[in-house]
Amino acid sequence: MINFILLISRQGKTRLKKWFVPCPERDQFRTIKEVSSLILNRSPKVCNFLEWRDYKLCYKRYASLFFIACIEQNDNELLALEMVHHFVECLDRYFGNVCELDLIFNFHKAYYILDEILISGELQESSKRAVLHHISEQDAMMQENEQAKRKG
Amino acid sequence: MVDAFVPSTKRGLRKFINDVRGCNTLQDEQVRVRKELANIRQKFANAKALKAYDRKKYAWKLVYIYMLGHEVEFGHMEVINLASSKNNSEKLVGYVAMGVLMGHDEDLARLVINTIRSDLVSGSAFAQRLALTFTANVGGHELTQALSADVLRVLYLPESKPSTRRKATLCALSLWRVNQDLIDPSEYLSVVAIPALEQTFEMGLNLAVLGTLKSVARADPMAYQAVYPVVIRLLEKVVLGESVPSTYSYHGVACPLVQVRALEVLALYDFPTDAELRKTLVHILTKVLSCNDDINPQSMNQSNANNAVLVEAINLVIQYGEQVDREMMEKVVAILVKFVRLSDANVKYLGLAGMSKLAQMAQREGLASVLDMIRDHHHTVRQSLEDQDGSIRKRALDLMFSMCDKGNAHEIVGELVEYLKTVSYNLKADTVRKIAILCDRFSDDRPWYVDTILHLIATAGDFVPEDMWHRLVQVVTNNEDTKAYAAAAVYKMMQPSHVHETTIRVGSYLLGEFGYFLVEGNQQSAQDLFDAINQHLDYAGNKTRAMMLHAYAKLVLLYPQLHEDVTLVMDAFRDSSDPELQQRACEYFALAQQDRVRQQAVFEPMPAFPEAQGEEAAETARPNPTPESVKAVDAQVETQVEDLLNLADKSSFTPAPEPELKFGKEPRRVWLANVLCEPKGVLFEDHFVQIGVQLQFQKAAGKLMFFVGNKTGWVLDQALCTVLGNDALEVVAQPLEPAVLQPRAQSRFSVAVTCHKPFADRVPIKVSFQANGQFEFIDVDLPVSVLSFASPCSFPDADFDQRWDAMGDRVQQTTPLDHVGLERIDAVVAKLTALKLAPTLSADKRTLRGATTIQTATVNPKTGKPAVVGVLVRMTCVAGSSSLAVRAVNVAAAVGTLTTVKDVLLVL
Repeated sequence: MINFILLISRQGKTRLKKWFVPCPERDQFRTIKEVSSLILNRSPKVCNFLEWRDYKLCYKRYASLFFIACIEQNDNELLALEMVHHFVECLDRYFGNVCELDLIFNFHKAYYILDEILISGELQESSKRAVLHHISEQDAMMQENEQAKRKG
Repeated sequence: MVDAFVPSTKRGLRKFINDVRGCNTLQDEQVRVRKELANIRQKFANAKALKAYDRKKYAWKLVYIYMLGHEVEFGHMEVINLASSKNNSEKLVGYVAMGVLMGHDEDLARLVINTIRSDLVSGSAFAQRLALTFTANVGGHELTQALSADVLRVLYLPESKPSTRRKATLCALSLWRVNQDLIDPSEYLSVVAIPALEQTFEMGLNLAVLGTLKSVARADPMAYQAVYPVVIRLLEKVVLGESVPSTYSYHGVACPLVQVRALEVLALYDFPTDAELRKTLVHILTKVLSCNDDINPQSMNQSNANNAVLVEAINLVIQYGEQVDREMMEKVVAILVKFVRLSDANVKYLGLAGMSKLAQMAQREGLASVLDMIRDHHHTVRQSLEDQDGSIRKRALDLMFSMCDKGNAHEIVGELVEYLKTVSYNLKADTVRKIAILCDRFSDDRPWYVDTILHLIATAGDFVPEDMWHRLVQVVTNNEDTKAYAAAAVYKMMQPSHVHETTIRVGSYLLGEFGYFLVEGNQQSAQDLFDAINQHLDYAGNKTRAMMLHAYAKLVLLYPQLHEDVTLVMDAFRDSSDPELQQRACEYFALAQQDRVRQQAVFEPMPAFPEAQGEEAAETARPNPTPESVKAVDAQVETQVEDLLNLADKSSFTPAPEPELKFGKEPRRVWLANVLCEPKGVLFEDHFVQIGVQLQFQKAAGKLMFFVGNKTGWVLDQALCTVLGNDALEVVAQPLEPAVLQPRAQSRFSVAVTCHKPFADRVPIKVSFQANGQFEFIDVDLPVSVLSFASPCSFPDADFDQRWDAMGDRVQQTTPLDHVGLERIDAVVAKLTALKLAPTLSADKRTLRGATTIQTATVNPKTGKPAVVGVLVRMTCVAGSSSLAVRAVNVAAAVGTLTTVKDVLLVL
């Protein structure tokens, strides 16, 4: 299972974080600091896996953002990378050429999409179309609501 | 696309984010955030007047602030109110914001239980999905207790949509992690898992179900066995038929995620015995293993996806080991070799990791041909040790370690010692440890062993844990032919004017004990020995000095000509500020005035150490230890700092490791192991108390009497013992009497146990008391295992084998035992007899067979008698190691027996 997922900018700013195991807030921030300094310091040519405490960190850099997934010892590293990539592809389809700014200003959208892909640390949907279908349903509902309010 | 499709972010929120981004310093950001928090707090103070739009906006602002790393102490109620709103859009914001803001706070979780419950029972699939997602991600005891029934209802409801059901199954998994009785295997399989896995159009549901199975079936593989053929069929459809909807094809690979998950579930079970299944599985594996053969991957992602599946298939083949045919094993080796040689860092990493697993399997099962194939690539592995990437270096080091055996031990150890010169700091300790373990494991050539360890101490002294040189001392003491050699070697090492602290320690010890070999051989004079040690006196630490004084005392007894020098040193330390040194110096000084007979009695040469302790160092030698065991080893190293040479014990002059203190072992495990097969013994001891126990078992019942003794000179009050049983092991405990422990007095309490069904886990006892106003807590395990209720049964070997085979498709648990070899088979037999396993040794003395029945108090409705569970144990030994297999109809009985035997043999 995935223990937590993090999006960190090259400057070390957190853009998204989600823990799937209980972890006190203070430890979360400490972990983010530790993990991001470990990963930001790695050279681009080395592999995308890193042993960290009793876990493995799998990360990938997309433009200025690092996507980091923390998995357990026996989990498949490449699969974690593909899950991350799947998430990125979904974001990309949704925002249309996603960039860091999209995720900064629409961070809540990123959470919606993540919730459709991963829950309790396990993958629940691997079809981009199915994920986006649910998200656009939600969006439509939100819009109707706003419009109804305005008219009302 | 964003503007047309995505509803624009709220203006206020956008502005706030912009402001924060514009802050140049952390202080600026803090000022801006505080201002915003004050604003929101004020708005929320009059929340009723707020419009829905604003409430959502402020909720998002709080989430954003929280994400930046600032504390958010209020607003949770407003967010919860949003989630309870009837309006879907507010509900969505509320749930998602709660998921981020509340983290795993149980108190806050309690406040949303009602909202979640009403959403779960509502007919709205939208609300259901939000509630399930939130519950799954937050989990925890509160939600599990309150919502399990509702979540399961949604999961099992026939009209639940696949998209709801996939969330429900993962939500159930999340709650199951808290309470493992939550999911009933047969119901889950028949209602959810099997129907889902038999179709291939809703692959998302398959993915979620396989993800759930991976965890729940790992805990109890037997209960979920029925799903095995279904998973194979699904895999067949995906891999061979590729009948997967196009939306689930990922860069040209048919749903790699489902393939990996399915393989992971298959890995929970042994190679199938059914011929048809076996054929299909082999077919699938062959196909997967050749997926990268002929095609040129069109993209990075395609090859990644293929490799992800490939790695999982390779793991499975390695797990099956000898059971798959040679051709497939060769294919696996070929793929791993290809991986290791590729320039792609990720693939190389996985190749090295896979090869490490393969080497361990080959060592375990004695597949020489596979080991040879791996060894052909020794050079490549050696090169990877110098890779620029730390992760790859670590994997290469693990592989070097796993592929080492008798034939190439010298070569590999030599290379690792060479590598030590250039190794990066964070791998250094690991490298030292691995070298020491390999040396120890293949230490037939003693001079080589002594040289290597001394070399390690000299070159990487800071990384050499105490028990490593203690082990060296043991080996030297126990082998007559090594003593002179070690003394000469260590003498040479002591020559430089500045050496590592550990060098001084081992030097003092060995020269004190065996220095006389050098003098007798006319290689060195007694004075030389003294000088070699004494030149380091000035800069040595106090603990080291204490060992030096002891060496002097030993030397002076043999060589009276040193009397003057030694007396001078002793005298100087008689007023040392270190109490230990002072006491030693005074005592040695006084002893020198006594007659020689008494002196000789005190300074007897060290007797040989019991070899049982010796090989324990090899315990750390599990090839490629799991991180837990590495941690455990580290912890052991730390606890061992306590001084094995017993210097702290002022009553004794003998610098011997305390006999009870096993090397590299936590004393608790030693105590437990002894009590598990004795009718009485010490269960725990520290500087406050000693806990002893007497055990009596009859059939499915047992009575334990615990004695808690106060070792201190003061009163320990409010003493309390709690033992909680479970549904397998009923426990009735009497309170501790008296609850105030007078100095050097005893209290006792009794515990009655009844076994209702076999169990694998130990029940903890918690002892607490107050010492000097501070509470102390002691956690120990109740020394009751499933074998406590065993009654031995024996039958001829042929009969045994027949029964063994008959149980072939039932639960089997196996474990390698690296430290128990053929040499100590008799001790093993004694231990197994004590465990009531009725062991019989085969004619060639290589196989031990044991059988027993576990008595339970549960009445079998068919016979009207208490149910008994049969357990068969088979141990095969070779020189230096053995492997243990347990078969039983009940998984808990098998696991319980296995862990008990393993724990008991640990202290052999």
